[in-house]
Amino acid sequence: MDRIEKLVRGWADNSLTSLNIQIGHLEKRLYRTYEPNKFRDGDFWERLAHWLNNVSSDEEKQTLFRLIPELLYVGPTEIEELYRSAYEGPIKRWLIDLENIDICAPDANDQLANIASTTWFCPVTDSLRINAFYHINNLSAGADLRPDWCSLHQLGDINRINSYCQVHGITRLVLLEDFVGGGSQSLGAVEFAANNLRGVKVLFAPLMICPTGAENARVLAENLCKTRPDALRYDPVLELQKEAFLTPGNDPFTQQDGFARKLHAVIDTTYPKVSGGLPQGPKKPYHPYGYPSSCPTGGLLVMYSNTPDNTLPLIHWRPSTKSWYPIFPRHSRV
Amino acid sequence: MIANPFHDLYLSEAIPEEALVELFSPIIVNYASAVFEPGNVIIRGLQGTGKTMLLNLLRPESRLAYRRSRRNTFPVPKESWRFIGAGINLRKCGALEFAQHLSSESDSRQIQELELLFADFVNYLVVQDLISTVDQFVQFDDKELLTEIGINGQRDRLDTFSQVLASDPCWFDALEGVINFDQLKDRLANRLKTYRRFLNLNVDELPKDITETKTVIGNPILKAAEALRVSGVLAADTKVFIRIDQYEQLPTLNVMGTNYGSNCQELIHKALSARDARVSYRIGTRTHGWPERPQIYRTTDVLELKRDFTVIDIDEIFRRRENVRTWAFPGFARDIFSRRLKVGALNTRMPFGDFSIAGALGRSLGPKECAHQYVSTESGRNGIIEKALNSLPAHIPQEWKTYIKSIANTDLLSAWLSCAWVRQKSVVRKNSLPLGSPPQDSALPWESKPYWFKERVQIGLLQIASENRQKLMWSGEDDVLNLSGGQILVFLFLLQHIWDAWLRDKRGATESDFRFPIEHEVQSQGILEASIEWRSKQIEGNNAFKRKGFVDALGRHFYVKLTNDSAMSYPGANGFSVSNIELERDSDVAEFLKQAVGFGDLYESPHTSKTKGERRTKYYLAPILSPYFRIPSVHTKEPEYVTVKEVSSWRPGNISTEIKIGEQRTLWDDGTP
Repeated sequence: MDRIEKLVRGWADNSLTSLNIQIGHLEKRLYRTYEPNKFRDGDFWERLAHWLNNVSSDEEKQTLFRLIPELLYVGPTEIEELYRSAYEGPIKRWLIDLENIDICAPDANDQLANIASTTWFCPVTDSLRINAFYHINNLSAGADLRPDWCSLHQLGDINRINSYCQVHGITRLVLLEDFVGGGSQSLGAVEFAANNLRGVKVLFAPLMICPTGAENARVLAENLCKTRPDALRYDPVLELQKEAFLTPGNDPFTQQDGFARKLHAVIDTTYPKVSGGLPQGPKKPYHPYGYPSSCPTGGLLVMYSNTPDNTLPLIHWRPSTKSWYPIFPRHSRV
Repeated sequence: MIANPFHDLYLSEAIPEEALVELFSPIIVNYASAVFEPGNVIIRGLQGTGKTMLLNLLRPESRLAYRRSRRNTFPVPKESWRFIGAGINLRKCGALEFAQHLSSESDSRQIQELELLFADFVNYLVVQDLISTVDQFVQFDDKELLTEIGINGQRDRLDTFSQVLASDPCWFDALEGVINFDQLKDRLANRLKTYRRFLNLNVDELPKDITETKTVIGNPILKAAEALRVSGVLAADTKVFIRIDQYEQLPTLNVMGTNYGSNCQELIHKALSARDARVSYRIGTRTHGWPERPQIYRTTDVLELKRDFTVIDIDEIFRRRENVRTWAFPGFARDIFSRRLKVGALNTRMPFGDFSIAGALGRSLGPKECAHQYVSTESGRNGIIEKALNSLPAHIPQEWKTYIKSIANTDLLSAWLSCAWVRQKSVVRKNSLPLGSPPQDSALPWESKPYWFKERVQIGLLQIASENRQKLMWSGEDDVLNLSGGQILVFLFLLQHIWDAWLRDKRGATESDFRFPIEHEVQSQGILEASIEWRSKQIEGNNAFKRKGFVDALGRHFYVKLTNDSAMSYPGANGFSVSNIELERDSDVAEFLKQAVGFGDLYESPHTSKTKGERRTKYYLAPILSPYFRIPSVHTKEPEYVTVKEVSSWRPGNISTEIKIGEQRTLWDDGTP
């Protein structure tokens, strides 16, 4: 007998029975796409059984079980839709404003397509699949190189980059990123581009961004535009609201049945197991509510490509002591 | 991967024709032979009882599908094969959209005009479909079939038919100038196209050539049937059946303070009132959709049962009788089950050789087995009985307590029922026997009263499960058939969920691990899920919110009443009974109950009252809801006698209901229901 089925049957609760069917549906549509586990520990149900076994009481198991459909799981289809929305929304708006296109003109679409073909679309880090972005939006190649700007920031020669832009007539650069937390990783690269490219205007369009990152990006754009108008525009596709995060002082759940209280308790009591005994601080997994330990984010987001480290560690963290088995293990860069 | 053969609940367009003929059960035809005989027939029943399935047999597409099939013969008795059918589904054909043109400023003349346009639209649709039916058979070009039906599709005959029909005065010259079959089809199609533009509000008004040539309901249909015969396209003895499905949709058009929909129904009654043997109507409608007095449009006259129409009540055909052997539904369900499984086995890799429900689901658990499932450990059984004994009145003799304790471990159910027995017998009542001593030699107290036991088995099991905070178990052929309540849709819905639960349970398993019978626990889980989903989808039709609230309040009421009845004095309290006189006095409650029955929330039947001469009606929740509310689905003993006022108190918005639900919440604090 399947372990999850047996467990849910034993709980004998109509709402959890319905939830089990909902999770079954989500597994078919979403959870089975999780890439870090595609060829290893790939079965979601196995991982779910292990994950629920991290805790001993039925109440704790039920709390974890109820957390699953509360996660914002962004699957491949959703990412494709975000690629499309990025182009149809922030990018087109920026191009229209920048080039003063009359959107009522009969050839407005042709004009946009022409301008897009001479615009450079690059990722900020290698987690954004720029090739797919080009395909989804049916963009012509324009510049043949599509480097990630974090690498360019670290390793690139700004003179060679400027000369490349000059040779290819690049005057517009769109920097894309799939997910931005606080912006510590990506905003440095964005600033590097906006500050150093001569005569090139930059749009930073993250697909999803957390409140802290959004605030930092706004400040950066404002500061850079003071010295050079239109140096940088920040326009995200999906800005996650503060209310959507689970922090010690906030919960995003609508249920009034004590679910949030129980979940806070599980997060707190399991942290020693989750962290493998490490206290809160600068070392991973930082804090029961995720990165950074000074002001934990409490994210509930999982992407099919990976889970961000500002999501609750009990979702993704696998300590070296193996005292906790995560449901969506994060694949760490380092 | 093994697929769920019950995934598609309906025999819809999604199912290929070859599969359709394999899946259709001819058993329903045995009970509805009147459908294939001359005369108007009203086919009524709850959602999913098979009305549309039956009516679809009249469609040429079905006939041709059977013709193409090598293995299946047309399931209508051979002596009734000589017919053609045409018709409309009111929900799909667009006729309901005439109501869009009603406004609060519409005067009576405008409303009447819209009613007559509805009639004209229906006439044209049906005639077009009738011609299309003939055309399909002719195009199929199967001489044997054409002879079997009595169709001669020679071009000159079709053209003659077109001329005869077009020149009939019933069209008010709208088809003037038609000289051949193609022209006739074009003219009908053009008129309907203009209608559809009007219905979709693409044009403000209809052209005069339509408004001045409106036809009388039914007339063109009669004339078309006659012209087919006169021209020799159709044999004189070939019957013409006209289907009008989803008739119950029309009253939903009673909007803007009008009776538009009801008047459209009366127009259909007018078509039936012609008493003309040239065509026979088949009206498909939900239970209670057909009015008690089917009035004829703009007259005080009504259609007469048996004279103008007969009724086939599918609910009645498949309703469970006192004598189970006369219950028709199991045979129908078994046939459909095995057909589904066989087609599933052909299309997927199902490793089963047994296509029977009994083989797949096994027999339902017996009462003792159920009790054992609810409390599986010896310590659990002892604990529960200990608690029950402690709550018995103090004057119960110790010898009885010792007796009950002695049987508890081997037969928990009998021990539990014995507690109820001593509670009942220890109360001194007129004509009641004293409690006496407990029986000897493993005998049970009710041995001379087998019905006492039989009537209380379900309530006993419910109380044991509730005491140990377990859900009721539902599994096996009998349980599934009982929970289906004679509705084939519910039956398939249950199986769909059982199969889903089974596939989930065997996640990652290989094909050889899928063996019949499916485990009882898995079945029970699937059935519970079906019950939860059925309740949550109870959102359609009039008063859906109120009906849902009523069903919830009633389910809770039954559960509380049955679990609290420790003496088991009212084992039939999973239903209620109301006096007919009271219902006649309170038309509001009567109408509400009628609606709830019509939408399948409740089952009703006449009730022989305890009071001599009193006429009552008893009501039960649809059996499929029993697992959700944790109440027995079997109806035993007397239902609870209630007043109309009490019934009214279960309706949402009633203060007493809110209080009662609040008080009961502690009993449901495990989240159910």
